[in-house]
Amino acid sequence: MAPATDKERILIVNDDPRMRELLQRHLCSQGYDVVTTSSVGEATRVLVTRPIDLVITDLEMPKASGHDLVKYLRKNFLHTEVMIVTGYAAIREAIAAAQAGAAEYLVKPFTEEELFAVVQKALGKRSVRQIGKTQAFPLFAFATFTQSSFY
Amino acid sequence: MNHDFYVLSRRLLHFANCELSRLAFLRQVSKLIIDFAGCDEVELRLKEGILTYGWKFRLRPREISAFEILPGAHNPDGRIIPCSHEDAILERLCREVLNGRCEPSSPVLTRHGSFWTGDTEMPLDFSPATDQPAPAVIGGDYKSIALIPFAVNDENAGLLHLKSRQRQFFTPEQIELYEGIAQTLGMAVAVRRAQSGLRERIKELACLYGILEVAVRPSLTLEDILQNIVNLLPPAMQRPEIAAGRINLDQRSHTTANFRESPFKLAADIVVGGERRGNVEVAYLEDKPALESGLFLDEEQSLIDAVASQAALIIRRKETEGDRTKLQQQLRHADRLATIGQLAAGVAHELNEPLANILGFAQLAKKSPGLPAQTEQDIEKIVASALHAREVIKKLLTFARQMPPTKIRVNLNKIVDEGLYFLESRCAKLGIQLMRELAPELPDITADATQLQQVLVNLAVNAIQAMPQGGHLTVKTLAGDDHVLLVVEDTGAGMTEEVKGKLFAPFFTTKDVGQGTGLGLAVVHGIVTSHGGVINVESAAGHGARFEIKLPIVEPLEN
Repeated sequence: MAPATDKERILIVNDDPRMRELLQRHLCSQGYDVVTTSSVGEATRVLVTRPIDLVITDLEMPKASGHDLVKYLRKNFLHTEVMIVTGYAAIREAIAAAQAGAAEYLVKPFTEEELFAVVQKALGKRSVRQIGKTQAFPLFAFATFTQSSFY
Repeated sequence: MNHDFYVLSRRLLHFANCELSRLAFLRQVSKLIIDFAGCDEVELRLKEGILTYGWKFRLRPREISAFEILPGAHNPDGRIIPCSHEDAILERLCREVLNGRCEPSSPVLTRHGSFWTGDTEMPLDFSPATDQPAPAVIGGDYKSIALIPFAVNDENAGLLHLKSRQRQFFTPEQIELYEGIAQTLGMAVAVRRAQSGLRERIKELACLYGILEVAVRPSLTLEDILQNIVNLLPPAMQRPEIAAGRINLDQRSHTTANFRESPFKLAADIVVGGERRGNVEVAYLEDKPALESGLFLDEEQSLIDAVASQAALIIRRKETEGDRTKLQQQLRHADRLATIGQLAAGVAHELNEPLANILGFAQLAKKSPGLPAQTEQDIEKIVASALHAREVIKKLLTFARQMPPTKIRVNLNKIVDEGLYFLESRCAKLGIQLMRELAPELPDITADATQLQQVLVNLAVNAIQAMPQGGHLTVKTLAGDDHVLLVVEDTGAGMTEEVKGKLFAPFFTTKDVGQGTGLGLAVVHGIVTSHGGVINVESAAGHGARFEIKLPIVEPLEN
């Protein structure tokens, strides 16, 4: 296993190899540590082996969907943020996912500047949450977060 | 004598067929009878409706008295025309005989109800149904008189009055003959009435048929139809040469060329769906048309009533047709927009995937170290084109209402202030004076602020592009009872009717290729419609354009 660095680690979950490559290369160019997987199942296996700061997932995928992943993460990995990358067709679902606990969503097609801005925003929410986690009632803090993500 | 009687009878019937006016007919008939009887004066009375017309003809001197409406008659207002007759007893007798009110058993009457005497100085012992004291003396210049009633279609309708200065001028045989003549006269009058009635009916039918013909011609507008109807009215009247017509509908009038106001007129209201919308009028333009040729007939009033109700039906049908055509056009338009919208949305979604790759990889390629300057520029162009394509797709999706609107309480004034903020510098650079006239205390509306801002910006950008040489751009807000108005006005190139017709159609643009997507106003249309609003455009080529957007304060329930 690679030694832990202070680089923020991002996991990309997407069944489209072009989109995976695109996201990976853009994010690597910004110095993030990027891991890619092509399915939710694969992603869950990665998540248990190493700490991940942000998951960037597609919504529509064969077998388990991005929604399932959001639910799984919110239940099991409170430190990990999740962000949706989707097309206009799924914009309503993306909003639903955001309401279910995804920090941000990004609509395709996007420029690299837009990608970086949204990623930073999502990671920013993670640091807010970690402050919350140090408090006595982490569940209460989570509820607050979920609510704020509605708006 | 008998031969003469037959000749006279034939002539009487002949005049009945000559389409003479009532006056001419009575004149001809009087001449015939006075020549036949050889008496000094003949007087004819004819009842028509509530009026009694009279005609006097004297043999020596050959003097024709004026045609008059006789005493005892009522004028059209129902007032009794005062009696001017010198000899009240004779006049009374005339009326009693004419109306058949004398006792048939009275000794001075024949069995056919005629009265005659050979000496008017003799006291008369007759007892009419009224309380006239008997006996009475007629007196006067005429010593012999005969009053012979005649029936028209079995009704007492006329009186033949023969007078002579000679005593004992008539014999009982002659009186019997005159009674026969009087009955022939009655038949002649009946024939004349039937014929003139028929002529009037034909004229009325021709008028109604004409209206029907006009009404079913689909190419005619309501205005054309009403003008045609008004022109059909005078020929349907008894005296077309002095008749004029007018149809008033709402605040507008259609008249025949000769129309002017006249006290002699018929009118009928046009009532459409229970509401009085105007009337149909026919006027006689002569000062005293009533006396010679009679007033309007009852049938003419019925005709005008029929014309008015026909006109009402036509108006209602035309208006319904108009509404239906408009509705169909709106439906077709909406349907077309919806179809285009769905198709466009489907294509747009499909295009987004490859576009995401084009944009993303182009940006990655641009970051490769050591790229030749030209390649870098080329890649920059790919990125710019991809962004343009993305913009088109986004607008298409907004147009197809695939972007969910978020409606909140907003104030149009705030939206205008924010929207224009970004346009101020652009206007200043192009020499365009930007003016805002915002209504104070404008009520809030429920709307998607971002979408309304897009409406404003799209309209303002179009206005700016229409004024390359500078000009005035005015943005106004106004408050109505249940709506607010956004007005964007420019002093630019304006547009032709043709352009105006296609204005909101997707992909319609007057701008150069690459300058506009042809979706700006389609999007405006989509947004305004989804807010339950209406767009009104006023423009003429070279005279600027004015877009008025009316948004309801209270959203309709279905939204």
